[in-house]
Amino acid sequence: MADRSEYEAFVTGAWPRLLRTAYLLTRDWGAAEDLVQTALLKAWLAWPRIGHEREAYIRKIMVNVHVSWWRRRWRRAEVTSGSLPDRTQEADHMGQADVRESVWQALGRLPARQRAVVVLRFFEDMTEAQTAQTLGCSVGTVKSQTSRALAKLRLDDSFDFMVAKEAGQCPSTGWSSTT
Amino acid sequence: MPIDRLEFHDLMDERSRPALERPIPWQSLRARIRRSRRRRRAVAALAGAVTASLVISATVLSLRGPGQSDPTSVSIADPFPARYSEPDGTVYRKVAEATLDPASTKVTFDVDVRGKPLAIRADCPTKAWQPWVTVRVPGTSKKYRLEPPFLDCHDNRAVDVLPLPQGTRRATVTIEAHKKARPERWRFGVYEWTPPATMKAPPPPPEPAAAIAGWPLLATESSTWPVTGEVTLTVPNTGRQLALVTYCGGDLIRRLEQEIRVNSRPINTKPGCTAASLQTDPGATQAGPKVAYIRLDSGQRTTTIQVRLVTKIPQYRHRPGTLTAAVYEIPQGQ
Repeated sequence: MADRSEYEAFVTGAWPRLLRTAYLLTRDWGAAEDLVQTALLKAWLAWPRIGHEREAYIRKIMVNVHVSWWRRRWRRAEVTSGSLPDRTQEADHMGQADVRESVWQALGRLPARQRAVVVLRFFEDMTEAQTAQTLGCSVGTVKSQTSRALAKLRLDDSFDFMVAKEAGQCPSTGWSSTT
Repeated sequence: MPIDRLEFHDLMDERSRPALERPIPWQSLRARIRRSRRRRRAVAALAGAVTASLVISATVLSLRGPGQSDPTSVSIADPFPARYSEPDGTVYRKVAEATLDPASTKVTFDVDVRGKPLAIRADCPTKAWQPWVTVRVPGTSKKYRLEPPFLDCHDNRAVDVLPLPQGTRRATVTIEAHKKARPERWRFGVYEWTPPATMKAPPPPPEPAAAIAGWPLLATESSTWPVTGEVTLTVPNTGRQLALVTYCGGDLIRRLEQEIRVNSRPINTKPGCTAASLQTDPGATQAGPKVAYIRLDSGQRTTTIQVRLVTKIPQYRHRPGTLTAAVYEIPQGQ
């Protein structure tokens, strides 16, 4: 049977990281906590069978549960009404805060799966192979989803990755040089 | 102006950073686990049962009942006490209570203001799709929001309303349901708060971790709030990226903002403080502490980083806190 104390120690350590990912996926703190709790509950039920990659396992549940939630919402034709702002951004003189806000809004308009790819690739710094494993799809799908997501972000005229030059290709390296 | 990949990472890092200050909802998580176990047992019991359908139905009803209203998940404490104190001695006094009923999309009510800052506590039926709280002063059009702009549905912590104009005697609070929210009953308590007449000594400044995510600590400096609330660190420029982590102590941990300057230039990233206890979290990596990635100026021999705590609420200058800034070096290739 699952070792409850080990589970609680794991939750204590992993909660902030999982919640950050969940928030980037859901864009709502309540929904994010619900998502993490749902994944942790599923993990608790399967605890004795989960190997050492517990956090990766739970992140995988989170991403897939979120995609299924999003599909259900979509089918009910709920119209996105624009969620509450997380924090007001005072426009700076260079307009950089406005650009960041535009990118943030554009990210929020991506379909769930594309947003998941972007979060896993560019926030979690996962490789294409790790992202594919988490999403349960092929590396090719990750590449195409990344490419589409970046294209959509660029279409907002607010985003231009340094990797944009690699038209149609998914970046596979780590940080770009930005000094 | 486009943003690059590092800035995009910073943006997601910044927006998701409040996660580090949100407590784990143990009560809710444990209740869900208990309910799940109960359902599993019920399913097992039903699978083994070969009795008449009437008896089975009765069993289902009796098992599902407690699962829907777990007695341990019901808080018996009053979510809106008339008066309470925070550990630093700040006293909160209730001035109004309101309810947003499932049938309503908005509730508006007036509160008397006596020159003290206002804060809102919420009794949340769910954590998703929170209502939006704004405060207006009669005769003016400006709206005053919460700071930070969301309710605390975890530990019922009072969230501050941005300062109202001096001389305000009455304010109108409006609470609007989120358009996506299911109709549910939300309760709110409006409080005014008073810092202690004699400020307590601040807690000892947190010691930063010797390394995070394998990044060694380069330099650290501590300060106390409100005496200085500012630290300056100068580190040699080796061409490697730097990461800045700020640790805060005291009741102001989730309430103060930061301004960061690198070589006298402000940076866009405005991370909140990392809780002092997070430094001891061995699992905390890049997604653990709140990290601000520092760009280096090529040609500069040193990099000077200034961190200053700031607040929009003047009464916070009567509440103690600590700040420790730590600079870590990111090895090449990471």
